[in-house]
Amino acid sequence: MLIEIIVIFVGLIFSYFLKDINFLSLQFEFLKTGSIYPDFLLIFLIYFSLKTNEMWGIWLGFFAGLLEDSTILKFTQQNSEYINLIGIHTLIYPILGFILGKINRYLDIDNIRTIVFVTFLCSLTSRLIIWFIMGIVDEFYQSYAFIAPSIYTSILAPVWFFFLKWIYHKDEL
Amino acid sequence: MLWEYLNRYKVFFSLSFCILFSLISIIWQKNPISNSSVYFNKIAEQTNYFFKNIFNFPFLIIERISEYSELKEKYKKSLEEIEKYKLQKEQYEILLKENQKLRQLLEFEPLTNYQEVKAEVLGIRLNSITPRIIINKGKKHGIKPFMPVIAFATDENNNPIRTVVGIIAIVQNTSSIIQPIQHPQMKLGVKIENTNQWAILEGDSFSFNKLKLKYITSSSAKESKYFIDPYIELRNSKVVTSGNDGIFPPNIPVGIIIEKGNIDENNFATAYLKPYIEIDKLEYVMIIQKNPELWSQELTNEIKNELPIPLTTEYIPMELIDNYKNKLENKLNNKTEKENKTNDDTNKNILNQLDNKENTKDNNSNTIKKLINPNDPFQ
Repeated sequence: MLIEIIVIFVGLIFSYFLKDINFLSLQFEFLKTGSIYPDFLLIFLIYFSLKTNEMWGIWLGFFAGLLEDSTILKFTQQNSEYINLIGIHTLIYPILGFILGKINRYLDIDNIRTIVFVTFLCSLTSRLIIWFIMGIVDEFYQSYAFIAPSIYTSILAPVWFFFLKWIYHKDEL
Repeated sequence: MLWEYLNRYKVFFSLSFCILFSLISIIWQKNPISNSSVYFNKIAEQTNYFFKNIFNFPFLIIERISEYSELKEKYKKSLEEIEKYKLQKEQYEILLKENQKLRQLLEFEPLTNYQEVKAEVLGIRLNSITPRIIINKGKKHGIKPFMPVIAFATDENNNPIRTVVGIIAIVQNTSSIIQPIQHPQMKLGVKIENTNQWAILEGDSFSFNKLKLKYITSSSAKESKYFIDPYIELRNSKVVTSGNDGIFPPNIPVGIIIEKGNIDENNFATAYLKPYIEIDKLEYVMIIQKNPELWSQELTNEIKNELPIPLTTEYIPMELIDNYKNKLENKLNNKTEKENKTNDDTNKNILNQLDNKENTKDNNSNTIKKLINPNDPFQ
């Protein structure tokens, strides 16, 4: 059990790393889409939430959220200093993991169309909610893209699902 | 018994914990857990750095081999260039002395040369709601928050230049986080080099390579030729730091204007700028060891949470200046003589500056003004 947890968390950190080095990022100036990138961390969360159960979904979501949140910088006028804004992704991702863990028995996760649809929906919804909460807490950033990264993430998701399945041999978990 | 109960409702408790934790963290932003998340992030970053080294190793070897073959030719060229620079250095020193003499005659303050610290970029995070750069220098190396960060780049004519990267945001012992100019909260005081028009550069843009210049100043007023078609003059204009934000020294190149923007509701022109810095290709940066100007710190202490008034901006509404002056005068009156002795000079300076401001504003008092907060280091 402990080894499983460690192996899965190494995968989580590796997904964060891929996101961190802007792996496979695209930029189309003419489309004004900003930076388009696949959200490997989100794909990882979706995969394990669908393959395991809501308990795994919640905790993977929480730690993935912590990793994401630790990168958010916010300047506070009151103390004239920068702080890390924790709580936005840690709120959304566990709920997402919980929902996916609950509904996994109704989804055919070996079907490419299902993977694409679920990933797109999760990515778009989570990004919209994150943007909205960030807007309430700080300000509504126009630089935060929704649709383009969601489409790109959902296109790459089947490939990444296949890769994760191959790495983790998930049926044994 | 309790364990059984917890185990039975583990999903409920886990989810409740996560939601509660998040809500508390959002509401109470400076909680100890948020602070300790810096260390969590540091662990993640170091793991990332480890992965990155493994990941890049094969590419690095190929790169080094190809670099080696070019090295001989580069060495020869470099020797020639060094000879050129030797001559240029002599000329530079003559000009510098001349400049110093002239500044002395004109009673200008001497130019300040700040120390610089070179740092390696450990990570660039663009795929986040707030982009940031991590470097390998921190408190130990004399880095402090709000120090300006620059890097080498090339301008539109492929000439090597030093250009703006961002501001030091968070400092740890051996690493720091930079807020780049592409950060949505970034607001940088700049000027257009050819026309000396002031503007504010905003980081909140759809693209990292196209940032918005707002509040392009008075030359863009209706009677000005720039208003009719500002881009006859402004397109391809170089934009540099104004030095009036209290953070950056003046005249550091920022980027070049590439596109026309709209005229905003307050009749200020807007434009789009392509920054010289290619943020995703950064390898090294230089931190200028310059603290924010004293006036901005004094003001921050003096009027914190009272009035959002700057001193050296032309956008200040007059009524706010009057209000601020009154408050300052009242404070001066209330202070004891002892206190006044130490603070008088500073306050008088502020009052003098406000008076000057008022005089310059007299002719143009009906123009629409915008607030800029001096306490905000992004301005």
